[in-house]
Amino acid sequence: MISKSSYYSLRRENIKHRIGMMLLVLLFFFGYMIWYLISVQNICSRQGEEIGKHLTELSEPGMGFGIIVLISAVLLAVSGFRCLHSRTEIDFYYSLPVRRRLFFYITGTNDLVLFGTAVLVLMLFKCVAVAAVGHFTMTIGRNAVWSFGCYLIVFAAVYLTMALAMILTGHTFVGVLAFAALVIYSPVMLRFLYPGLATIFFKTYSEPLRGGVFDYFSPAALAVKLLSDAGPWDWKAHLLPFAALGVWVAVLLAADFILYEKRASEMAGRAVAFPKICPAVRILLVIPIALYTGMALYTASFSSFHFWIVAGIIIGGFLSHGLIECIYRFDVKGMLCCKKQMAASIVAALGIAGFFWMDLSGYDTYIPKKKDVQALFIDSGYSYTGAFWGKERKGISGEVMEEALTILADVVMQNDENAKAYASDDVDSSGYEAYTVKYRLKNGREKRREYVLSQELEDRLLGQIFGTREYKEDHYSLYTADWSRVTDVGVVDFQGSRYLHLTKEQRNRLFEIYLEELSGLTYDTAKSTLPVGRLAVSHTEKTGDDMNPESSQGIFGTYSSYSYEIEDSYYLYPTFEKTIQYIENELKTDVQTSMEEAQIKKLTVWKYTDSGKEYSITDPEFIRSIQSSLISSELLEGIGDYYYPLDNYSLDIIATAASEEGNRDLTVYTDADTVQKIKTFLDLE
Amino acid sequence: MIEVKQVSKTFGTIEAVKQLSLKIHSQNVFGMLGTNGAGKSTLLRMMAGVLKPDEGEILIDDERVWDNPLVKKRFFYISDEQFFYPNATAFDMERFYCSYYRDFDGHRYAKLLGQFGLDGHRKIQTYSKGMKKQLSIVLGLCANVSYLFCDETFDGLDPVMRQGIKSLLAKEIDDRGFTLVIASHNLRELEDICDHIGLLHKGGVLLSRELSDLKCNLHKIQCVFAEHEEVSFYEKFRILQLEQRGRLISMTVRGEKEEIRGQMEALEPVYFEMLPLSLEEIFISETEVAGYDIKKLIL
Repeated sequence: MISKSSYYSLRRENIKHRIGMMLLVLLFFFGYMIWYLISVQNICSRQGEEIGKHLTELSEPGMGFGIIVLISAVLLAVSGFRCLHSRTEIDFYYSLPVRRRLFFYITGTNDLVLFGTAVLVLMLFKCVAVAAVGHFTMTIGRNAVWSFGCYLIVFAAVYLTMALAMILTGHTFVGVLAFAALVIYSPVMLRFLYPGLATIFFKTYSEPLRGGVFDYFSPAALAVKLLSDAGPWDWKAHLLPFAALGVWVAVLLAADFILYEKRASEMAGRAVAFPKICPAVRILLVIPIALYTGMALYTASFSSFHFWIVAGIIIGGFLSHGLIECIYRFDVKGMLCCKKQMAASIVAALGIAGFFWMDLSGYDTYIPKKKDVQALFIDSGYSYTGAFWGKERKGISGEVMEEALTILADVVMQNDENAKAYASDDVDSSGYEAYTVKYRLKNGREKRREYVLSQELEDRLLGQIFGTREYKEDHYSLYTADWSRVTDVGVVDFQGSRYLHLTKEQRNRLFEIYLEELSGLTYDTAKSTLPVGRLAVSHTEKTGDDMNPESSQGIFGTYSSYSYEIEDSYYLYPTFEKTIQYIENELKTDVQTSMEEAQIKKLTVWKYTDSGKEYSITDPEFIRSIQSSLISSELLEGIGDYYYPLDNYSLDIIATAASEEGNRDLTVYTDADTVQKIKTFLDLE
Repeated sequence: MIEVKQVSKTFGTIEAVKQLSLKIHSQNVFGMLGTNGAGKSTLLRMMAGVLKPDEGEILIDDERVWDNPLVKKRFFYISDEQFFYPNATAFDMERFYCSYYRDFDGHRYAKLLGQFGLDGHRKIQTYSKGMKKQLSIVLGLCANVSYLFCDETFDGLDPVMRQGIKSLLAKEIDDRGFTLVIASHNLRELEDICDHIGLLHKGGVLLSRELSDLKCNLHKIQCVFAEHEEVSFYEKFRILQLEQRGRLISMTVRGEKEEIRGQMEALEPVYFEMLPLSLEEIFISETEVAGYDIKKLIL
């Protein structure tokens, strides 16, 4: 048993020995306190704003102070366990008449108590500061308690990870490298590996970047996940990462303790304290690094030649393996050591690349059985479903879906050929369109694929689905959205845009009429007619990110939730007579349905396939003959959830029109027939 | 007593200590000799509980050393490069060690610091290498432990200080009867202080014997015989080494001094003299018998 005086002496000397680092950490806290006071003062100095709300947001756990927590944990762990890397210190400590585990215990508890006390003082300080300006609430008090818990568990997780890295190594530099590897291996190296390879090798790959699960394998990434939520603090939403961090702390504590006990003293000064794990670590690092090098070289070659991946894997495998070995040995001669393992790692990386290259999983040819599919979601490249604000999208189901699946089977068969034409610089890619298809399966899983459709396939597919209510409800938010969120409705035509300033009843009536006509819009009509105008519907959206103007107060800002407006476009086709009449008659706003009345003086035309050569058309008669078929690009600004049959590929057309302010240049689109007329007129064929 | 039983220690592919067994009796001064890399420091660090033996065990007073604070209280380990806390003074280190070694003699510590001319209030990091060595020895002596382990302790000390330290250690041994284990690669350093010598080579013990035994039984003889006189020395003496230059014969002979003298006189040499052997010469003789070219092993 160790005497009380020995115990406290060791604890005291541990603090004295690392006093510089501890003071540095406390300095961070002091700096944060100053910043906090300034923030409180800034918030209180604003008149007529929601001071209480902003002070509450300021009291929530956040990534701003989280960065201080992460840095503090790393610095304290490095200073606490650095002695393991020094032979003289090891000789000194381990020859003292105390159990070895006591050093681990004393270092760990000293740091935890220091940090915990500092955070506790900080939280009390924050509460007192807010109370001093008369805005202390129970929510702020609760946030302080949550902050204390979150920061403490984040500190413990990161601290123990850094301690593990220090215990596993025998040199501080290598320890820091090991920490970096532990922290980024899962959330970065593994997370981006599959999407990277799939993007290169699978022609139909279109998955959004997911992989939140990878964060759970890195305490530091999990800490960031816990603290970086932008929304208002909701403990239920943070319970899972909090609990996961708790598990990590327990696992790391056990691992640190066991490895500390097992760690051989003579490993001080060596790169790695447990040489037996070296081969496994090498393989785990070399394979992904080799694959990333392959992908990097391939990307650097403008994705032109797949063999760059092979070259990259070999080069990356050789260099990374050699570099790791050099670090292990602290000797550049390590570059050529363990050749068999190097070769095995490279072969494994090549095997993984080959698996993707040859599509052995049948990713690109995947099409689910009809009986397995619950719903289909089909979006063109122009679909703006990311900003969908209606109720949950349900997709297409039933017989229509089954017919669509039959067409999609043909799409899959022709995809290679179409994708080649779509991406080719030599072939005219007009007429090809990229579509994203999401299969929602009955087992609850979802599969996404991106296909390139030829004109014929696109006509077949959209001809099948465009007219259905399900498709339209999936693509036009207005069908299922909460109309009370609408802030403004405007009408946009050739003349420009005007707000309609609607009452609630007028708004509802306008939408009812519009949606009734939109429901009747067929694919053929949409394809063969030009829109004559559009409704610009603005609505509020709530989110939170760095765009928040309040966050400009500093990097520690935790302000997060805010409202902003988004504008949706709903096109007015010539067939939408009831809507146009309602706008003109009831809302007393003219809708200029064509450019026929515009005084176009000149058309300037560029042909893409003719090296951008410029042609001018000033013949008034010809201009008049096609004027009604032109549509301003301004009208189509904010291309929305629409299929529209415009030719904006083969020609660029600028119309110079006279207006009250003088001549005005407008980029215009037109249909394929009119393009043909222009080409004939200019003798471009 | 310290017992080292079949201890092995490997660093990667290097076998630092191989199946080494050794007994160091209490109140002895044990000199651990060997070249660099012989395994002296490794053995000492294992004895101090810093390194864990891969095989075997080390017992001090019949208790295992490894991670055993009760045993560790009985010794003080002075490594070849002793660690002191940054910014600490000699008195800070005294306070630190006082909490681990209950019998630490503060009065004597202050007195010895004065004798060695070490300023107890000065930061240790401003001391020279030799001063740090002196301080570590003073700390070790004042800890009042039963065993003191010193690794290359005389390195970095000037000759006067070296003698001073040796005298101090000798006095301490006389007064208190503690056990001193000194590891060194320099045989001459240990000659006048050790009473037991262990020679380590390539991780094993080449020889371990009382110094008095070594010195009493070995004699160096120089003699000259009349021309054409053939003497069969190997039949008459237990010769460890024999060298002839011209007519001058030098021999290292094992046996009782008077008996050898009588035998020599009976041979009626022209000239004959018995000379005392230095520790180095004893070692050279002993180890050559064992088949080692000791001149390459020790200074």
